[in-house]
Amino acid sequence: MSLDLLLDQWKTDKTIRNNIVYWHKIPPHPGQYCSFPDNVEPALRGALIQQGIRQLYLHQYQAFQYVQENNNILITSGTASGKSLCYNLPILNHLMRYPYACALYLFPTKALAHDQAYKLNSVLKEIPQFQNDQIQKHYPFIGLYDGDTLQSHRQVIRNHSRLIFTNPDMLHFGILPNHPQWERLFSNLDFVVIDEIHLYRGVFGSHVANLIRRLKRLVKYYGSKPIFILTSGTISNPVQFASQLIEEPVKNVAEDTSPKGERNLLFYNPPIINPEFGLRAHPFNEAKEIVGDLLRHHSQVIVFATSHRAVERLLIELRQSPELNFDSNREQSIQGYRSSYLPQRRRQIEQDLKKGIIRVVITTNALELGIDIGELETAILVGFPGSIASTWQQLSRAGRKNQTSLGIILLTSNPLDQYISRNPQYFLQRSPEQPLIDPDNPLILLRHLQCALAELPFEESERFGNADVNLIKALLDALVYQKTAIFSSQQYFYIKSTPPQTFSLRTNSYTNIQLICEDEGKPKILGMLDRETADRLVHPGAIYLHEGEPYQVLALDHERNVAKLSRTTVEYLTNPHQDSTINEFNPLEIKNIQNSFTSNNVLGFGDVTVTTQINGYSKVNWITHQVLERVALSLPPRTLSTKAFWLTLDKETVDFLREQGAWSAQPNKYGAGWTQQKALARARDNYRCQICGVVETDRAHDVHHKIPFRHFKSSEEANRLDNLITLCRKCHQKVELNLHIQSGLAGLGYAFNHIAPFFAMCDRNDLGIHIDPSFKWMDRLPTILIYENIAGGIGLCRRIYEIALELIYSVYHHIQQCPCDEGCPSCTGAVSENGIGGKTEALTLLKVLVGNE
Amino acid sequence: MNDLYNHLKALGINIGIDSLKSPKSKPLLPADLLGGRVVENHQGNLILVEKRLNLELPISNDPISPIFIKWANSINLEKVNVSDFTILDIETTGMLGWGTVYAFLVGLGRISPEGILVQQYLITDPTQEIAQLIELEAQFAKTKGIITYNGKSFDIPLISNRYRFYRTHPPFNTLAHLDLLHLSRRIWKERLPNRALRNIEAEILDIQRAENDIPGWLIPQIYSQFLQDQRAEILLPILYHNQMDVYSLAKLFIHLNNLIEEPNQKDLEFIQDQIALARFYANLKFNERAIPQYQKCIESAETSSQKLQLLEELANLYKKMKDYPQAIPLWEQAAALGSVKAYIELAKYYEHQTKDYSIAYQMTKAAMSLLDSERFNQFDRLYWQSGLQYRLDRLRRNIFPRTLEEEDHE
Repeated sequence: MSLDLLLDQWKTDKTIRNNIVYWHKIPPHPGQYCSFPDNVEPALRGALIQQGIRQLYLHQYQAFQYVQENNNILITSGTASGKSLCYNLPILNHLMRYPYACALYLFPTKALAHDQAYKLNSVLKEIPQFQNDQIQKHYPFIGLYDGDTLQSHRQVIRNHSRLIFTNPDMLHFGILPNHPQWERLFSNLDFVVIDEIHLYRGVFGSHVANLIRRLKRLVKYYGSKPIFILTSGTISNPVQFASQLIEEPVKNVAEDTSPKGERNLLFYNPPIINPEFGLRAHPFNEAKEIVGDLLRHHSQVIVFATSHRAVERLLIELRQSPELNFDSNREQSIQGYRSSYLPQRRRQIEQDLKKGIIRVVITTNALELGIDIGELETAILVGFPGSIASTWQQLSRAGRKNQTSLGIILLTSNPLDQYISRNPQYFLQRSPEQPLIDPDNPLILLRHLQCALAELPFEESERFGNADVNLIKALLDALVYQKTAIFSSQQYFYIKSTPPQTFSLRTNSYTNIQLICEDEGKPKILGMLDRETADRLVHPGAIYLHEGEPYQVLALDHERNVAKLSRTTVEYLTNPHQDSTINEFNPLEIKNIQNSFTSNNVLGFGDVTVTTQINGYSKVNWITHQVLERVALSLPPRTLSTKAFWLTLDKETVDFLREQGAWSAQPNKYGAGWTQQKALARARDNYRCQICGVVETDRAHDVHHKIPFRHFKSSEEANRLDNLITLCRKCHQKVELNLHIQSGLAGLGYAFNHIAPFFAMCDRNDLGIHIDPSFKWMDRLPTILIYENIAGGIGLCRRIYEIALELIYSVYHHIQQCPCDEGCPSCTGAVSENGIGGKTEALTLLKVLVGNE
Repeated sequence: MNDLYNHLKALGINIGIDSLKSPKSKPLLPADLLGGRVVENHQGNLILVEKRLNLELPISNDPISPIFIKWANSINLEKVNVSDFTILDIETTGMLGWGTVYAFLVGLGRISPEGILVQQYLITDPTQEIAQLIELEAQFAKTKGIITYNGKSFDIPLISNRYRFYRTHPPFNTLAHLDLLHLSRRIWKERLPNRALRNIEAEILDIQRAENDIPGWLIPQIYSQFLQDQRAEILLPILYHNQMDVYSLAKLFIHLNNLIEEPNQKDLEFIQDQIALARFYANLKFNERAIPQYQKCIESAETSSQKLQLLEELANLYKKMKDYPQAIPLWEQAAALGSVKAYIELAKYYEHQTKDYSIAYQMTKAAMSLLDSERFNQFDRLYWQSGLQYRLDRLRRNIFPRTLEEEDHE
């Protein structure tokens, strides 16, 4: 009840009300129930009743029936709708009837597997048939098989457990390569459960799809044909995605028939405190006040932050906050929760949350997954988590069967957040992202083919999932050529003396860089990064954060694949600068932008080869985000063959911009000494244009600032002679135009780069951007090119190409609505960071593209 | 197709179209080159290399020591001879702990009065593995047990996996298994820091291998190389290496069998080995052998601390047999040499067996004053002290029940 009171209060309190840009209500709905199907074993039914489950939700019943009819199923009924019973019920029922039958459960993380095992065990202990072996012989019915499993337990699990709970990495490294030891499981495998498939997107998902191909291949060899049961969080087209992942048809159980109370969803934008730079109040401050209000109203709160560091900072700030003075027990009642906390600690926090001892938990997406922490009243998201799917997932952490619940999205100043603050409706109406995977990306496929080959020889024309037969043959031949395989008696055999599955599923890089710290004499390995990421994160001089502690990189050795790090106390972060060139360019599809008022602005999609190089980095104060210093570097260039999307402006647009350029060039006030400096510069340059060489006649030549005036703090500095150059009117216009287009492109690129991942449902680092005002592959026309940071690509750029117009419109509206003057971190990039504030130019450009004058 | 190849090439995947000719007809098995012959069964063929080696030992068909059998936990075996067992050693295609590695070479050895017959089953193509496993199964059917070096954790699980892989049952269930690594560890733990077979054979058996014998870890790489280029001659060193492993194992087996059955002076010139053997017997509860072995060791102990240790162990053995008359003088000797433990054992004996509390009290006191001597550091004292004090208090209560009560009243 008190939450309702608070919400009423917020509706009237202006200081809060003004920051709530949108208030969305989702009405309550009652549950739909039905009794257990007749063919559920009595003992199982009894055990469930012991647990308080006296009847099923309608969708659980439907799931059971589908499985009875031998269908693969996909459950998308939402968080807290009893998804696990949807699969556990048919599986346990089957296992009771067939004493040798087994099931394999794949969870995306170890923690989730442990949580699910714990919960399921409480049902199992009520079922005598499943308890006998467990009690008499200490054979665990559920075998938790992951990196933490003791060596001595592994054999028992392999030989006796009926349910194997594991994760994709363990399946890849531990189970599939050792399949003869798992003969019992593979020969009796009747079910495969894959939980939370929406997490298997991008490179990781493409790996997992191939892992499933390997699993199915072995299972077939051992003579089983399992039913797949998948669950997914909120995504678009889940059925299509699921059948792409397992390459089999699935039936969807989508309706959520569990009861739900009223839900309130608030979009909260911190107030602007500095209009010139578009600077808003820090979301942490807002979070403190909101949490204070909620605690005073006895609401239990889960706070999601977007990074580990943010969790720790929020934790400190909330515990110290004077707003929370009334809570004498703050240390206890406010806790953090991250994946790097020890498992026992996390279990403790989960329990204390359920008991209500902890009132506020601050976490990353570690608690986004289905770990049971009871029913919370309020969820606060500090910063947009990056995808609509993830947002719904986190918001649904607050939601109770019969009472009101509250979700708050607290927006930060980054472009995507501000985009959402202006388009909350759009966010709500938009279907969540569709995860993209490309199991046939040749590099990913090649690695799994190699593993599959080591697991079992390949017949000459054997298929591997739905991958193209010619591609498979080509890749197998490549393995023979590399002397990894031989071809003998119409079969391919793996012949290397070292195992092939040494790569990680989470990247697609062959080379890993070890991060080593020698501070305590003995070298200690902190972790591994793939080579591409290493260049960005552990270049010499970089500040690298590991478990919340800053380390400085002393050296990055590409020959020995190690980076040496040392603990540091500096108070800045580093951002790498990257240079890119396009070496090869092969358009596959091209279309003109129809709406634009010139007809030849082009969108394209195709294969490119990009060479990138980290050529420096800037040190950024980690509180003020001010750039302290720029440092030059020279790392070896990397060549990446991948897919790209591009936008090229045509000549008419450039001409139009030239006209507009005259309009946009506002006279600058160049300070007191300007007339004198101007004369000195012209005299120094002999009254000659320094580009075309024309000597001035009746009209004095212009004098141009090489580095734009507004970059300097004082006019004296800007007007120093070495920053000035004499140009004729014509050349000056060209130069300015280029600058304008370039700055417009840069601004546009900045916005694109931030907003495109939202549309492609990927991480920001999955996409790279190349901006060129005179792109040689497109007749030297201005071009913005977005490429995938994944060799071969996995479909991200194709997706962007398909929805490019929508993306351009979104970016246009976003920049247009941004309240800043000259560009800010929320739209086209900070003036201080990106050079010339390209907001005006970017908008002019976008107007042309969307045909809006 | 060319588009595909170019696309893959751009990604750095080279297919080398030119080098891929249509597969040649299968080369003949290089049996002659390797000094073997082709054997064939219904699943295919493979190479068998056989060699008879002289063991340079005066053996007839000796029985296997019952102690050995008991140690191996194979109680169902009775009256077996060394010739009833088969020696097994394998060479594999990859490193340990990787489930799809297979044994491309399996060496078997049979001991007879004429020496040892080494049979090596070699596959030169992965398709021959089933044929190899069938041959092995026939061989295992003829034997009562196998002898390996670390076979419990390596050779046998690995081959078993291969049988399972081909969906058949491993043929080892009924066989006894003597893993000599485990026994060698027991016997030479004190003396030899490295119990690799190569080291044992050099130190104990005086076997000299050819200088160019290859190290075992290199073998998978050499075999992988062979599969690529089919130069069979590079397999010759592997055959030699495996043959020597089997030969060495045979000698080690006979050596250990003799050592534990009738230890002679020559084999036991080191006191560490004699002690290890005494402990081995005691552990297997062959007390009638353990006791004289301990006594011999005590006589020839090299240091007083060694002697003390042995006295304690033998006394402990008697204690387990409840033979206190034998144990007491040993404890007394040990106590005289400065054993706190022996004093405690004596105290226990007098307190619990004969109820002679005042002697028990004296023994405890003696242990405590011994602890005060310079030979013990503070950690030893901490370790013993509280237990001793507790015992002392209890004994005092038993000896002076009244007095204590009175004290309490005061």
